[in-house]
Amino acid sequence: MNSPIIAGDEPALVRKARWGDHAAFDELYRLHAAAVYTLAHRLTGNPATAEDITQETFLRMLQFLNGFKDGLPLRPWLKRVAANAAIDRLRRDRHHLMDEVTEEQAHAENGTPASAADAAGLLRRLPPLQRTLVWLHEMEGWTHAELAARFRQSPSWSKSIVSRSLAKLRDELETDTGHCR
Amino acid sequence: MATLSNIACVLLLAGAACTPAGATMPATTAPAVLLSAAQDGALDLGAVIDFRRVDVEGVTVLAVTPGGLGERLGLRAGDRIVAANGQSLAATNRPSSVLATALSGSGAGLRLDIVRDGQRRTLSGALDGQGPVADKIEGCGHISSGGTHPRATRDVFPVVVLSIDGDHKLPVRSGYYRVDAGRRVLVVRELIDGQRFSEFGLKERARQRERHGARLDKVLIVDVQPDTSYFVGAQTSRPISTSAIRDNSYWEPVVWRTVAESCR
Amino acid sequence: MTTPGQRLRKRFTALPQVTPPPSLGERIGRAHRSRLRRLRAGAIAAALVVACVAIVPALQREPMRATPGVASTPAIDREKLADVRALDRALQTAYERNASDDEIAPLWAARARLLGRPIHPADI
Repeated sequence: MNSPIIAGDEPALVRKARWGDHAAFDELYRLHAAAVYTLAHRLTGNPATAEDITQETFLRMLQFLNGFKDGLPLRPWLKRVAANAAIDRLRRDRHHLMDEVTEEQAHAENGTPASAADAAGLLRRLPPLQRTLVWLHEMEGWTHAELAARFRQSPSWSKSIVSRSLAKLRDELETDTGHCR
Repeated sequence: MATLSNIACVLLLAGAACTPAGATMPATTAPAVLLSAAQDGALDLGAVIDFRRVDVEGVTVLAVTPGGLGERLGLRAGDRIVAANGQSLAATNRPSSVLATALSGSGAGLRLDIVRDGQRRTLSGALDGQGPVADKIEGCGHISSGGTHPRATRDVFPVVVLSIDGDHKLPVRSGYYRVDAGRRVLVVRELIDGQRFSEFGLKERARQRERHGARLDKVLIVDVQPDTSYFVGAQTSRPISTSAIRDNSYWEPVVWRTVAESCR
Repeated sequence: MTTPGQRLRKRFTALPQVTPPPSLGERIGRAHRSRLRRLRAGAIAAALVVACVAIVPALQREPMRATPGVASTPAIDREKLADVRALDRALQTAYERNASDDEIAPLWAARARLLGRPIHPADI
C-alpha cells in the first residue's frame, strides 16, 4: 500500500492501518500513544502493566471482527478500551481482596513517599480501585452507571466510593497546603 | 512436514482444545463443584456439539468454550458424548433435547459418559445453584443492512445478512432485524458494486463464488446495546487486488453507523 | 476563592502526559507486523478448517498438552472470551438446525481468527 497519508484524515489512517499499512499504524501510534499510555499509567500505577495495556489497545483497534467501528473518533475509543483493560485487570487481581490497601503499603509499592504537593502523589495515595473510579469519573467523564456496569456493582456503590475518596483527597490537599515547602 | 490441512486442523484444535495451564482435570469421577452459567434458565454446556451426525457412539464435541461448564468438567474437542445423566444420546433422534434435559438442573449433578481415544470415561461434577449470568443484558436493538452506504467516502458497500446467531432462517429477509441486546453473531455476504472491480477482478470474484459459495461469507459480531440500531456493510480494501480476491481478503464486514433508536 | 474540589480538579488537569518508552513503540510495531503475517497465513488455512472437522477425533490420538508457549500466553481477555462464547452459541445453533458445512464454515473461520494461533506449524 503506497498511497500517501493525508494529514488530518484520521478515519482514512485507521482504515489503512486495519488493511495492513504499517506507516498508517505507526502514525496513529505516534498520535495517540502518550494519551493511552498516560491513562493506563494513571489507573494502574504500574509502568509495565501500562505498556501491556497500550499494546493490547492498539492491536485491538486493528481487529475487524468486533473492534473499532469505522468512522468514530479514535482517541476516545482508544481510551475507553484502555480503561476497560485496566478495570479487568483490577477485577482479576483483586478478586479475593476488595479490602483497602493501607497508605503505608501503597507507599511501599511505589517506592517513594507520596508528596501531597505532587498531584500524582495524591492519586497514588488512593488504593487502586478508588483511584480508578475517581479518575474515570472525575477526569474521563464516566458516569456512575457506566462504572457500576463494568464492575458489576450498583451505581450507588460507585457513588459512595468516589465521594469518600474525593473527600479524603480534598482533606489531604487542605492539610498539606498548610505545610507548604 | 506441515501440510496446509494440518495447519488448519491445528488451528481448529488449538482453538478448541487448549486447557488452561494448571487445570489437571482428573479423567475419572472425582466430582468438582462447578458454577452454572445460566442462560434462560437452562444450562449452557459451553461446547459445540455436532448434532447433525449421530452414531452408535453418540455425538462428537467439536469445540469447548474457554471458561465454560464443559471445560471445567474436563470435556475436550474430539470427545464423543454417549450419555448424559444416564440417558443415552446415541439411541435417539433428538440428542440435543436429551442433553438439554440433563442440563436443566434436575438433580444436583451432571454426568457425561464419553469416549476419548477409544476409551470410555465419565466426567462429572456437582452443580452449584447460582453462578454469574454471562452476557445477558435486558433490552433490544436493531441490525440493518440498509441505509445509504458511504461508498465513495469510506469504501463501504451493502451486504446481505444471512444468519444471526447461527439461525439461517431469518424471519423476514427485510434487511432490518430486531435483536436482543448483547453480542449478536452475524454472517454476511458482500454485495459490492461491480464497478468497484476491474473486469478481470469481476471474473475472478465470480470464479471464487462458483468454487467456494457460502464459505466466502464473513462473521461480524455486534455488541448490541439496548435501543440502538447498527448499520452493517462491507468495507473494501483500496485497491482491490487480484490476490486479495483470491484469498477473500478484499473486504471486511463493518458497522458503519450507529443510531439511537428505541426498541420495544 | 476556589473550593478544595476545584483545586483538586485543577491539579489533576495540570498533570502532564506520561511519555511511553520508545521500546514500547518498537515492540508494538513488531507485534503488529507478526500479527499481519499470521493473519495472512491464517486466511488461507482457515478456509480449510471445516474440512478437518470430520477427522478431529482421529487426530486426537494423544491428549493435547499445553505447550509452554500456550501456558505462558496472557489470558485471553474478556472481550475476546465474550466473542468466543457468542460464536460458540451461534455454532451450536447452526449444528442443531442442520446448517450446511458451507454455511457453518465462516463461523469456524471467525473462531480460529479470534483465538489466534497458539501453536506454530513448525511444531507439528
